[in-house]
Amino acid sequence: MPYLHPELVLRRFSAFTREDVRPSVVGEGDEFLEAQVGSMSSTLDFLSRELDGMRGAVEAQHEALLEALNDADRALDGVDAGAPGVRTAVADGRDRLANPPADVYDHEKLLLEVSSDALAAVEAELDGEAARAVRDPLYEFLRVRVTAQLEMLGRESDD
Amino acid sequence: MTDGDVSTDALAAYLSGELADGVVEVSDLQYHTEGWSRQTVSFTATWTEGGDETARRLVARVDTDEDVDRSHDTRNDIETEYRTMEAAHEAGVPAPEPVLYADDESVLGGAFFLVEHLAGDAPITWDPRDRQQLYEAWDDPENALPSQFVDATAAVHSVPPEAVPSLEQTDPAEVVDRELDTYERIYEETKLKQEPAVQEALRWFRANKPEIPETTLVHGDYRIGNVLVTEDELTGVLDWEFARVGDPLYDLGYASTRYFSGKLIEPTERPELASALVEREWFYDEYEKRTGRTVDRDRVRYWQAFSAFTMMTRGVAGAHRYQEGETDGVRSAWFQYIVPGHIEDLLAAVEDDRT
Repeated sequence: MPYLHPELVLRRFSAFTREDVRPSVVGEGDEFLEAQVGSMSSTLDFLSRELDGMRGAVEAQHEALLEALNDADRALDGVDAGAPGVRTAVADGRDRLANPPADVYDHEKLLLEVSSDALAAVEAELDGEAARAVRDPLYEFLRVRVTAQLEMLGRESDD
Repeated sequence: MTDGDVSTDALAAYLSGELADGVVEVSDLQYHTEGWSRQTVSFTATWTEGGDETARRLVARVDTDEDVDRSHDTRNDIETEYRTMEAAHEAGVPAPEPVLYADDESVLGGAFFLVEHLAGDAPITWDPRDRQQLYEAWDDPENALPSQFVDATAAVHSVPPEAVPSLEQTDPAEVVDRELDTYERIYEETKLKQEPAVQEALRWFRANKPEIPETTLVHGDYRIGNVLVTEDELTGVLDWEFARVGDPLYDLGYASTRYFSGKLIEPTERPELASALVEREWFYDEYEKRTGRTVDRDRVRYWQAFSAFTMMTRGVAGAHRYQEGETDGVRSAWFQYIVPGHIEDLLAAVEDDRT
């Protein structure tokens, strides 16, 4: 592996594009080029943040999904619904999460598949209060996922 | 002479005889960023008529991507955009005055239209400085801009469907399914990841379809960023390429999205303001006064959530085009970063009903 961390290089490229390149094209009469350079600087900054934070974000989502599946299982018991498909989706999901792929993109794909399968099973087998009770913990995972994505991309506020 | 992609000589030659009987000169050409694919330039056309020199500032919008696959693109073709603007302008909507439409591709490299140039700038709500100016307009009771934004909205919806024959005439009962089917198809065909939150939102959209009592002309991309404003005046409504016959409340929901108030990664400072300019309930109340319509808040919220889905889908489709090598445009790659914020808004819209 070379010496420099790619997130560092991308961050510097972003700053150079924003602080040096963009001012040199602003006011030259080509707003389209200005916008492209601005988008490039912003994209480089986001890419740097992604590289820096993607592994931590996926690990946080993994933990949240495991907890969501456990809570969904308990909720199923509480609503006294058969829902064999939901129970299978939850159990299969837990099994699959026990041995996550090393590749971060494959890991994220696994999380999405497991949560999608569980929610699809709820949709197919449950209605009303029972469906809401089982969905509730799974939605907590969805919120954790999107918050992790936004924080990875630079969100600092708690909102 | 060629300035960028536009030849001022070719444009002048075409306009001589079209715009005036004699020779027309073209000068002061300026490129604009409005529209990411259709090229937009403004210029001054000058000619002599009866011994007097006339100068007119005009805007040309050129269709530069006629050969691009549009199966994932809901924009109308450029002639339809022009005809829609014509109908809107005739009906009193503050749209730029249409001048001419030309399908002669030899002039500017694609079909194009000309409209009058209007004063003002389109606010960029993701720029904190522009956002602050809009907040100040809302906070200043003497500033007419908020009221004019409502007036313009009402004016768009005063245009009946039959006044815009270039648009597909859709029965009110079919409007919601048309929108859902179109954007769900694009999303499914272009998604790069299976997002469970989006699947949940789609289930909610299908289960909560509103009844639409009437249709009118709908701008389809109605937000402060597609409006020209001076310090305290709205001078024109631009970018009619997404216009269609639909539920007028669609535009209210669209203009009310958090994204168009300036949210990208961080929430905005004033989330209660639609388009960073008008408090939402005030906007709906004033619209009711001007139009006599009842603004069904649930329907507006439905369209607000659906608009988040449509914008997210445009972000996904842009990333898909980039991944497939259909474009090297920087903005297509960048557009993926609008997706998480929209998913957050979709979740917020559906979770109370679903959990």
